[in-house]
Amino acid sequence: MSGTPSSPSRGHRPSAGPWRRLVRLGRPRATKANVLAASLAVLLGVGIATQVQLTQERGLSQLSQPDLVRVLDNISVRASRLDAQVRELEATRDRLRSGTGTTAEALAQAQKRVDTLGILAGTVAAKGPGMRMSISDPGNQVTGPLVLDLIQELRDAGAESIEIGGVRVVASSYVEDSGGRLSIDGKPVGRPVLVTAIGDPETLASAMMIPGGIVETIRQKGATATLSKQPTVEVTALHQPLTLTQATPVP
Amino acid sequence: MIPALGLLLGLALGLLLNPSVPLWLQPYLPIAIVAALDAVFGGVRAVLDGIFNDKVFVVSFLSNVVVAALIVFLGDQLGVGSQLSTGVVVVLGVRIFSNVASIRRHLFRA
Amino acid sequence: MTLLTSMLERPLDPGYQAAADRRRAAGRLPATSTRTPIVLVMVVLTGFLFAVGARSLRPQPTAASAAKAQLVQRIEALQARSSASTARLAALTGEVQSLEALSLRQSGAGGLESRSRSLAVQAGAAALAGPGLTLTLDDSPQSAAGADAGSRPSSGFSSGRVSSTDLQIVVNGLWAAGAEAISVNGHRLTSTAAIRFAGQAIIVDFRPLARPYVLTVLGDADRIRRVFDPAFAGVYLSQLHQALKIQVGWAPGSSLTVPGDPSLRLSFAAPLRRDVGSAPGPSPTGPATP
Repeated sequence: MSGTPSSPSRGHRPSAGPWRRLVRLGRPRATKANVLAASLAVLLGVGIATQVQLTQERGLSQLSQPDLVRVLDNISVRASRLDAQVRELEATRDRLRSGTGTTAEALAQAQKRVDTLGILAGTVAAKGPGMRMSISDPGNQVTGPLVLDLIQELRDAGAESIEIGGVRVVASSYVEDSGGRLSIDGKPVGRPVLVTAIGDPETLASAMMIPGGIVETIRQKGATATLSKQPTVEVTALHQPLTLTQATPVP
Repeated sequence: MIPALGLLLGLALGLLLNPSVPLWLQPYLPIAIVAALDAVFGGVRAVLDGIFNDKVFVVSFLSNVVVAALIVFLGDQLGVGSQLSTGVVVVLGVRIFSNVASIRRHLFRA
Repeated sequence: MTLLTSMLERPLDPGYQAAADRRRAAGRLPATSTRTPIVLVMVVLTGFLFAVGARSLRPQPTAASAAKAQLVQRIEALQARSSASTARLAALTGEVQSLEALSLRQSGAGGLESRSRSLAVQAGAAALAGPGLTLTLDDSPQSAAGADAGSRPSSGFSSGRVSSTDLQIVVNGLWAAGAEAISVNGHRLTSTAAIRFAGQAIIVDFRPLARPYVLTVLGDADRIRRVFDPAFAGVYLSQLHQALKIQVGWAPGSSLTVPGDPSLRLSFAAPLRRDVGSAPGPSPTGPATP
């Protein structure tokens, strides 16, 4: 509003061109105004950076409430599982320390861990409660992604050991599907697809049967799935352990 | 000084009493506040210009608020409520800014 | 334009000037006092209006948002507790193992110990290090802007966001390409770790992930890329990148680490027979004799 052009100060030639003035502006000087301007500029920069980060950030609070409830469910399952394990291990450690029947205890513990790891690694046959499912798929409509989804759903429902079409499913198992021919870990899977999983039968079955779940998807594709809860199932297929060529255990 | 104290008193009253605004009044509230803000800054500027007049202040205040509410109401009836509200806010906003600029010139000479 | 100019040049109510002129003409001071009762009343009213407006127009912390905040708080607390428990578990496992090793060696049964160690590597309980690559997936920049896609529960994947299905397919492709170990955002993928979704959140082994999704893959990086890229997962990923603008970043690394999962435990499965060797039978796919 005050349109008077700022007069060149400190005896500068009034004819100094705009470029020279710009250069003079850029030259650092330790005047009060300069320091103030610099700190304002810094503040502006911080503000911009914060705002940019805020608009990019998407944490938990961005999720809707039903999603948050599911996340909470998931994480509390895990938390209580971890707590139980910590308590169990603490008891074991105390027993081992106290030295009562140490050798037997140690032997039992070591055996138990070998069993657990062996079952999880897929090198040991396993038995336990669980479910069996048979997917008859005359039109070869059960595709790789569906089987992948099935595996993840089973794991989510707490399956501890899974066998599909005579192949043991472990962490590194992969599903392939070329022209309707399914294979897991490179081994062909025949039709009907037989699925065996060890875990809580109720949880496993309800995870399969939920609306919009695996069984419904399979039905929509024109295949049928029959599912039965079993007090004991056996997972007998074994996984050939990978030979690690690149990775080495961290000591 | 005394008007400033009055403003604080009003703020405290509003915060303490915490009256519930009826739902039908709520659309008019934001616009009324902007209009009131304009009147207040106009009044301060008039004081600094040395031409303050209590009657003008009160009348401009009331007419601002009433006209702003009327515009919102009319806009809502015509189906252009949000556009008209935006227009009112822009006009009043520009006025507030230039009044504040004038106040600034009076107080800081900058 | 005239409107704008007049607005900018004479922002003050013209009434003030007119009143001042009138008073001057009448021989009085141009300005009245600011302390007249009517001004005071008006000013109190203004303050009241401001306070009431602020009170009633501020987005109320509704019951829903309060519940949400509480949920987030509980999730964060549980997350903190879980990671503390995991650390405790790792420490305890080490302690118990060394105690065991001591007493087993004394009794001459050290073989079990070394079996346990090699199985821990296969099962994903032990941390691994080595060369490999990292694959970073992130939502498209556009989708990040309109993040809050409403309250649809599970089905609502807005395009441009990485979904759990995408992650499943990519991980599957990486295993097929010869990956030796994979972790997602620092969570090791073991045989019980599921990649699922809870609405728009991706969950790995019951832990919600925050984007970006960083997959650390141990293995021969060149070979993995050679096999992965032309395969289904590679094509799928490049389509995600091209069509949905999902951000994909590959980076080879010479010394990467994937953590172990110390919380592996079974509560239902038991071994069918004791002490089958870690070497599988001649036909691993064939049904074993019960």
